[in-house]
Amino acid sequence: MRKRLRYGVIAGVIAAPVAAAAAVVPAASATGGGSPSSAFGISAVGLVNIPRTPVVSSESGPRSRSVVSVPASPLVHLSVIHTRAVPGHAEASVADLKIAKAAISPKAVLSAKLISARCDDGAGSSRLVDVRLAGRAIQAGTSPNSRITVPVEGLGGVQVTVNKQVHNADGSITVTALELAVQALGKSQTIAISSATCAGQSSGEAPKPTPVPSDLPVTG
Amino acid sequence: MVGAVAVTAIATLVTGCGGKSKSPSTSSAAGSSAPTGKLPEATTFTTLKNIPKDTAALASADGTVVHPTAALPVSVTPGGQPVATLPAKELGGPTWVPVVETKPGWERVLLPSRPNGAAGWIPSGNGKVETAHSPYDVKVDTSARRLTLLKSGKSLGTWTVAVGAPKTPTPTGRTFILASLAPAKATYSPLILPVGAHSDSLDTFGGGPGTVAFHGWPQKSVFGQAVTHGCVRVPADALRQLSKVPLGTPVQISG
Repeated sequence: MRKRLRYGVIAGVIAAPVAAAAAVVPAASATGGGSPSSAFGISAVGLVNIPRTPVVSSESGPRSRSVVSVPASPLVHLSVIHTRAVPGHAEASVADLKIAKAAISPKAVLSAKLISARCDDGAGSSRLVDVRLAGRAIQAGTSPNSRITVPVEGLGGVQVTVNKQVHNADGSITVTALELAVQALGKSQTIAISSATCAGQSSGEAPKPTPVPSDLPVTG
Repeated sequence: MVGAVAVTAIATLVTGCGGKSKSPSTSSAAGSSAPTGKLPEATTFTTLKNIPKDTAALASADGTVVHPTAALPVSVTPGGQPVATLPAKELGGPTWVPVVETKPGWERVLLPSRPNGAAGWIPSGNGKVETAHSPYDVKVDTSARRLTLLKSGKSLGTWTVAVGAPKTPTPTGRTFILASLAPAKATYSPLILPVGAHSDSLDTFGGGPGTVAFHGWPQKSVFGQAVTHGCVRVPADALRQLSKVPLGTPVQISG
């Protein structure tokens, strides 16, 4: 799965003028149990489709990837997306993001200096820096799943979910720093930016100890 | 790697056999100001200065335990300057410590060093921490001289035990099972289960750093008595049950 997605990104790199830098660190000795951690920087589903980019997933050692643009997406401009995952931890960040309303309208409807999400042992958090949607500042609160609706000319009300946190059936949690949802031309369009998934702390039972052939003078 | 602190501790260990009186601590270090420039290891042999104490000493932990797969820095605040390192091994076995507080990217854990209740922050999410859950709880009531072992909140047994004598009491507060040791010569117990706590009245004992432990005892007559130097002597059945309890499992000792 990971390989297929990586090749997908690479194919996109060839098809579009994209400079991608993928840094894959070899598996380390980490042995965290439970579900794999994963992260992606951006995805869109609807009239505009963007596969989760760039996806990283880890069941054993650290994995990280960076890309500097999104393949075949003229509406989306950014300086860099970085994603990283190790067991029990995942993070994603998107820097200098601009999303246009339409290809013929270069003016950004959404702009952000930084949108990042991180997941640590089943606890999620999000960070938004200088995020504006149709001129309105969007800020990350401390509580998850903050929702507001922002009117955008030509699109109607865009539902914005900040620090979206979903508890998955396998015990992991997914935190998405910013999610936009809108009904456009009778179809729903969603865009997720900076998403991280990791397993909770109580993913496995601690082992029964193996006695060490040793002694320690204790306070008998 | 064995640091100067551990060397000092071992030197104290081999020269101080039989000592019971209050004497200079086995070793001490003050974080980044340690003379060698190296951070002290958080082990049962060391004393960590300027390390905050567990703020909820009698609260129940949720059973989350962590094992560093490599030495990790320990700081007073999340992201703060490291003041010690938590090694991957303690007393020859894997290090497992209980988590008492979490913040994104950081976990506050109980440490096996003096002073009692020492707790510090270690980084998580770097692939160097294995996280697991211990369903067990060990509770010791020194007044009632009773030990109760629980699994998932249900009692597996309650035993009458021997606790510290009035002049060498078993220290109260929240600690954890540090190691499982099988001595070559089982003088008084086939198994010794040191915990993270130390005697408050004895800086050293028998050449060791005054570590409190669970262990057996040949004479059953001691159970129910306050006669030890701080350790908790338990009946054979209790020791058998405790031998299955994962390292890092929280131990609550109340007076």
